[in-house]
This record gives sequence, C-alpha cells and structure tokens, in this order.
Amino acid sequence: MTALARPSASAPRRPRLLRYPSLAVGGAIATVVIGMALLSLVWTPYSLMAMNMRQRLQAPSLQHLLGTDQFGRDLLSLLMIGAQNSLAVGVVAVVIGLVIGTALGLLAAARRGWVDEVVMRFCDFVFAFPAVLSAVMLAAALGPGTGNAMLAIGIYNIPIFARIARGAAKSVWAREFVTAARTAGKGIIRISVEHVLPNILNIIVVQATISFATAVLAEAALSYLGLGTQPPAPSWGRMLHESQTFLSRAAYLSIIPGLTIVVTVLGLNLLGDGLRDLLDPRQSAER
Amino acid sequence: MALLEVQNLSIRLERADESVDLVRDVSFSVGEGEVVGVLGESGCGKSLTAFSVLGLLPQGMKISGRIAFDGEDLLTLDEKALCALRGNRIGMIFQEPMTALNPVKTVGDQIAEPLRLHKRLGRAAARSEARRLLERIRLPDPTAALDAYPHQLSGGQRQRVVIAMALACRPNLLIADEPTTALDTTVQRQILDLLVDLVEETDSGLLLITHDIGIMAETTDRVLVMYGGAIVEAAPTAALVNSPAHPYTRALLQATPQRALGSDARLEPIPGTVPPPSSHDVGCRFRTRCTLATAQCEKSPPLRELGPGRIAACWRLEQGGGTAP
Repeated sequence: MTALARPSASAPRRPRLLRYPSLAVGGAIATVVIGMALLSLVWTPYSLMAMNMRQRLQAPSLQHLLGTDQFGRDLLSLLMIGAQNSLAVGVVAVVIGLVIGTALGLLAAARRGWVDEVVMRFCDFVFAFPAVLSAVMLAAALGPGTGNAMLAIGIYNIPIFARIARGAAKSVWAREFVTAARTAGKGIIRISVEHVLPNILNIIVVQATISFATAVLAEAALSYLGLGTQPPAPSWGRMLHESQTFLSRAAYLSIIPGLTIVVTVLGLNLLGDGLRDLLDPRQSAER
Repeated sequence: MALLEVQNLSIRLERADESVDLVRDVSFSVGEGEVVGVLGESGCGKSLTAFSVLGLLPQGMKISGRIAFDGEDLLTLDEKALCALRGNRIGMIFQEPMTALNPVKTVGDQIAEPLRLHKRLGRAAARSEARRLLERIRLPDPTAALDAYPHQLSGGQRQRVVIAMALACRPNLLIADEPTTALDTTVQRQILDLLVDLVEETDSGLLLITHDIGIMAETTDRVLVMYGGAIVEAAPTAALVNSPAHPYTRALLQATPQRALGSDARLEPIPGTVPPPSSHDVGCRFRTRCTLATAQCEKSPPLRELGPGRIAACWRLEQGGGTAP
C-alpha cells in the first residue's frame, strides 16, 4: 500500500476569481450594494428627512451626486437606505424559502410515497401562479408592509427549494454510502441531515443566490405597486413609482433607481452563475 | 442455536400487474466464528438475501419466512429496533469502496459515527476508538487517516475503512457483499486475510457473498450455492470443491481459472445466462443451461440430503453427481 496521498502544493495558477469572470463581476456588484446598505446604517451624504424645496428635482451635480427628488431629498442617500430594505427583504425571503423548502424536499426524498406526493402537489399548486402575481396576491391579502412582502416572497421560494432539494436528495439517496449509513443503523432523518444535506449544499447555495436576485426584484415590484415598503422608508420600487410623474422634467429620477435595480439583480444572478461553476464538482475535476 | 438462522425465506417483488419470484425458500444458518459463503452468478438473489437480514429490502418487495438472529425473529421487529441492530450487532461491508463512503466527511468522522450512535461515546472517545480501529485494520499512519477524506485514500485503504466502520461496534454478525470484487488481486488477498482474522478474533459470524470460487475455497467453512433465487447446493467447503454434487456447482468450478484450485483442467464456460426472475416457472431453473437436463427437470427438484451437512437440489444427482469434474 502506498502512503496517504496528500493534495499537492498548488502550482502557480491564475487567481481563482479571474477564472470565473461572472463570479468576479457578480461578487463585486453584490459587495458594492451590500457595502452601500451597511454604510447607510451609519452615514449617508444627506439626512433622509432633509427636505429642501428650493433644491427639488435638481439634476446630478457635485453637490448632489445623483440629483434630488421632488422634495429636494438627496437621491444617493435614498438609494443607499433603499438598499438596506431590498437586501433585508431578500435575505429574509430566501431564508424562509431555503429552510422550509429544503426541509420539505429532504423529507419528500427520504419518505417517498404519499409524503413525496403531498409535498410535490403543494409545489405544483404554488407554481401554478406566476411568481410576482402570487406575491402580490399574498401581500394584498395580508396587507401591505415590509414584513408581509418578506413573507409573500418567502412563501413563493419554498417550492423552488423543495423541488431542487428533493431532486438532488433523491440522487444522493441512490448512492451506496447512504445504504451503508442505513446498514449502520441510522434513521432517515439522521441520514438526511448528516449525509444527504452536506452533499446537496452546493446546489442549495447556488439556488439561494439566484432566489435572492428574484426576491430583490419582487420586492421592487411590490413596492412599486404600493404593497411593499411603506413611506417614509425609501425603497427602490417606490422611488421608481413616484418618479413616474416627473418623467418628462427629471428623467434621471426614474433612470437611476431603475438602473440600480437592474444592476443589482444582474450582479446577483452573475454571482449565482459563478458559484455554480465554482461548486460544480464535474467542472472542478476537469481543471 | 446458531447465531443467524434463516428458514424458508422467500422474497417476491409485487407490482400492480405482476408478481416476480426473486428468492425462493432459502434456508441456512451461520454460527459464531463461522464463515459461510454464498456463491452464485450475478442476479441469483445473493445480495437480496443479505439485505433481507438487515430489513433493508427495496420498496415493493414482500418477504416471508423466518430470520432469527440470536433467537429473535427479525421480520417481526419494527424500524426502530432494526436501527438499533444494524451497525451495532450486524455489520455490513459493501462491494464498492469508492462509493460506500460519504465524499464530504472525513474518515475519522465516518468511523466514529456508529460508535456515537450505538455506543453513545463522546466525541473524543469515539475519535480515539476510531484511531484504534484504523490501527487494527492495519492502515498506515492512522492518525493522519482520521482527518483524510475518502478521495485521498486508495481503493484498498478505503475498503479497510469500510471494514473498520462495519466492525466499530463489534457486531456479532458481519455480512460482506463481494468485499473484494472492486479491488486488484494483491489487495484482495490482504483484505480477505484481514476479514478472516478479525472474525476469528471476535468470534463473530461472517456471511461472505461472492461469485469468486477461489476466494470461497480459501476463506469459508461452508458454502451455499444459489441459482435463480434458490439454494441448489449447500456443503462444507472442502467437500463442495472436491466433489461438487449439483451440475451448476460443477459447471461453476469448471469455469474457474484452475490455478486457485490446484488442477490443470480446461476452462469450460457455462452456456447461456441466468434466467431473469420474471421467467421463473415450476421447473428446475438451471435446466436451460444444464447438460444433464431431461423431461423430469420440468418439475422442481427437492433439496436432498447427501451426507453430513450436504444438500443439493437435482433430479440427476446419481448420474455423475458427487464426483470431481
């Protein structure tokens, strides 16, 4: 027998990030957005409530980098605080979907039979409604507000994670080490948590990133419709809604929040793609 | 009483439109410190028989008969009681060491798991016991191996780890399903010697499933030959190798490279393949490939006693039965 093979010291190669351009770009955008949100907790260029009617609807200038809104508030400050809101909704909605959905998916894969059937029909039921529409319905039923927006988007995320976790878990259940774990006397819950979950975690992480992007978009849509974040808290979606009236006088007021949403969602999607490439074991084997 | 006693075990696959006979009326026993081999081609029901002992048959399979382990009928136990038995008093070793280990957990963790589960050992105690086990299965540098992941080990090393996991709780019965099939011959030898040593050391029973007659001849005390889901012959190993009674056993021996058996006869392949379980009917299942088959073989032959511990199921045992090939 040979001695234990150890991973050899890695030869000089390109830095990891550069081999995954989408991961680098997506990561950079996500970092900027998160950084903006975190910074706004302690500092913004202007106070949120600092209205200044003499400076309303000012185009971007050195004084106000992104201009001012109809109340003379600094747009950059609004966007920074709005980022807090978007990210909070995204995180909570993804956590709701991930925790409940993954648990349901693992259960369905482990128990099969009628449990599997019930979980999957529930998923079909939720999927029957378009994402944003079901969020709008739920938010309308529960009443507008940030909390309910989180809940509505989170509920929509549950079947997404349930399906992905179930599919991946089923393929892990077919593997011999799971049978080995069963012959070692482990129950199905223990096997699901100790053996199946670690082997599907990469897929779940990638889905979480992509769901996060969708959640940010859904939050913007809900707020745009007045079902999400309520005034006076700023939100990207509502900024877009309020700026409509001034489209001819101050187009930047619509363009800037719109671009922010687009770039953020794009960045998160790129991050998800990059993570998938990074975590895909088949691709790593080829390198 | 023997450690494991299987009586009239039958396994059927029941689907909406059909019912397939997979294992039929299998009876055998494994005593303490005894190595019993199960021999047969792929698809003869060897692995199913083993899994039925652990209560781990795939869904949709109906089992009947009696499986008594240490006097307890396993078929009457509930899932919880079976879980307490599996890995604790009955250990199982798999064919593929490449896939029988979880790729994302360290070797030490995986060996410690059954100890923590069944013996309620703490983290540190389980780890030091795992290290002791790795020493016992003669893995070089056991301390480093504890923190290694399966992909960092060779095939032989991984199979040793699988054995260590199965032995962790000192089971009374060990079931090894083709434990060396995936390994190269030099490593096969080491692993088998190790298994037999460990069984002798702990006085546990070993049910060794294999299709390799060489392995069978060298390691087992008794052999069951299975064909088409039923036992066609059972005998002490030496008697079986020297004077096989059933035409199938004889054909198997003739199809084996003879060096392992110390003779220079010609290799004779068995014509045809194992019939699929869906084609099982009342007759002798080997008759389609048997050179001695007659019209009588359309009826199922009973297992007949041939001598101490020797049985075989064939109508034509008298015609050339009991002689060397």
